[in-house]
Amino acid sequence: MLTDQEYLRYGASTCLGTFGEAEQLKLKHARVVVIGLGGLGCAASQYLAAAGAGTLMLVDDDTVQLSNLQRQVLYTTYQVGTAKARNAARSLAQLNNTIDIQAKTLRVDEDNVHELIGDSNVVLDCTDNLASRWVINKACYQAKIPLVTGAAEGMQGQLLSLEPSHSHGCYACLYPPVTEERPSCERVGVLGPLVGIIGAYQAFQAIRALTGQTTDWGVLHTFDGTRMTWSRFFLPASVDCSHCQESLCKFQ
Amino acid sequence: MQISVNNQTIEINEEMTVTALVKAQNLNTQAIAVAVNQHIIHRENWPEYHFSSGDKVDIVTVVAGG
Repeated sequence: MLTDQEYLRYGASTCLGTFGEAEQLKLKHARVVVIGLGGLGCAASQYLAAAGAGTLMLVDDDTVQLSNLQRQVLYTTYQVGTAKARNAARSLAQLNNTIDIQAKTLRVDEDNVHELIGDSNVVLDCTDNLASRWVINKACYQAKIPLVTGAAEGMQGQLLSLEPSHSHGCYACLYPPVTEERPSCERVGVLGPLVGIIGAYQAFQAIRALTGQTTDWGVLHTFDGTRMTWSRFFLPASVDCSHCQESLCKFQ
Repeated sequence: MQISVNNQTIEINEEMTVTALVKAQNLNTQAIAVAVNQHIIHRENWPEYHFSSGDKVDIVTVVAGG
């Protein structure tokens, strides 16, 4: 049952016809891992914390740079040079002091990913490189944890929500693990609010998934900021995928 | 016959496959996904996949920034 303070705090959510106390309680008992605390992670974790996601694990190995501040809205000028994960946790705790926020200053890799995501209910991939994206994708499939992956650069954004053990494909079905790395946002540029749009969309999808509401699993959403248009593409499973097909086989 | 590629109408012959289209567009095949009428075509099917008149083709470039 929600407390009086929680009724007041989350009243704008729980008065929705499709989102009541039961859904808020599901959110309260949820554990969410946000990997990457750049522009996407700042936006996504801010909305998840405000919404009352009970436990937030924040993961990033980086420090705040001056050039990040144009889009990474959890940080301040005075935090340049200090760890993003710790700063993000501090900022989010000020936003909502009723949730549990954990910070890990490390880079996700094949050796630590399973421990990081282990008992989570959903993982948000907010990273800035393909290598991490494939590692997270594969681990989520192996651990059967839903994954909401977002990306943004230039004027383009992409979002894909993946539920393990189903008929749709995975991130490696879409972009195989031989694709060359992309240049960073600092090099190709990105308009600040774009990461907010995609990060907020990730949080929205995660909340829907955590509360048992219909989610667009296996659909690639793309946003073209030059035309202000969204598109949707359905992703079937690839029989040749080395990630999800191999992972699914292990559990069958 | 005519198809649209990223909202541009082009004329192709009936033998054209996804592989041939991507090659004609001079694109890095590893950095893109191809969708026909909103359905992603997996790259293992590109060599045999033939278009139909009026198909709406979207070539989506990988985005990985965060």
